[in-house]
Amino acid sequence: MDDMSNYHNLFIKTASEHINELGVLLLKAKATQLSNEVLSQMHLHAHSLKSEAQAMGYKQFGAYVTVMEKYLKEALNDNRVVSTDKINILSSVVDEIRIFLQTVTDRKEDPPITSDKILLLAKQLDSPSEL
Amino acid sequence: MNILVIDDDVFFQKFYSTKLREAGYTVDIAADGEEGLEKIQKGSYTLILLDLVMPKVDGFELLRMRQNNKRMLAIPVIVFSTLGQQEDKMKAIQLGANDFMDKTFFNINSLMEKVKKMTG
Repeated sequence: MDDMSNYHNLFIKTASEHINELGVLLLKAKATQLSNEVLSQMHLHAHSLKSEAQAMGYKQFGAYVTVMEKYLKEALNDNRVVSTDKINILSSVVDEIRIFLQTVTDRKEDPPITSDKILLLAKQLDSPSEL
Repeated sequence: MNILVIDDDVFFQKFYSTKLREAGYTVDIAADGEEGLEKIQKGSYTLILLDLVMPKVDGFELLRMRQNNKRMLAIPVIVFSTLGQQEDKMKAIQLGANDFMDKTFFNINSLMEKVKKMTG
């Protein structure tokens, strides 16, 4: 694998943009029904963020974002209606990812995201939606 | 040797183009499949590096179009994928991709070997 340290600043810049876009799209989703177009854009940002984090060697960061990406991809493929409680979970995820990115910015290391935390998120997004 | 990189991700666009230029290649960038198609029609490329998940025309769609286009078929395509995309890799190969690379463990030497193999 190539030395990725030269790409740290580029990663912070592009990752911040993906996170900001995800935040904006989630605000849209809260205001109206989550359309397929918005869902598709969210999936693209989550996919890019995951790929970049993995390429930089931030495995846990990448794994956490992967859970969100997988959920968005399945919702898109299944034409699923994303409920308000799931949108709220995704909003919390984006807030957490923003904090994780700050850790990466400050320490240039993978944020302390436990496997249990990743599994819990997968479970939350997998659970039946509240009516 | 002119290589066309088709990827919507600015991070990977800059990463690949830097690495490839350092290795002596000329690089052109397209931000999605639609722009990639335009560049293929107008330009002359030895190799295409193609991302799969993109807006507008994605990598799969571009591979489908390539199947019926002699000009495009003459250019080998290496598909980029990420961890956990095994199904995508298989689908891309079935659609005629010549090879694939894991974009998250990108290694310029490994890519060079593939490029030499395809163009040599």
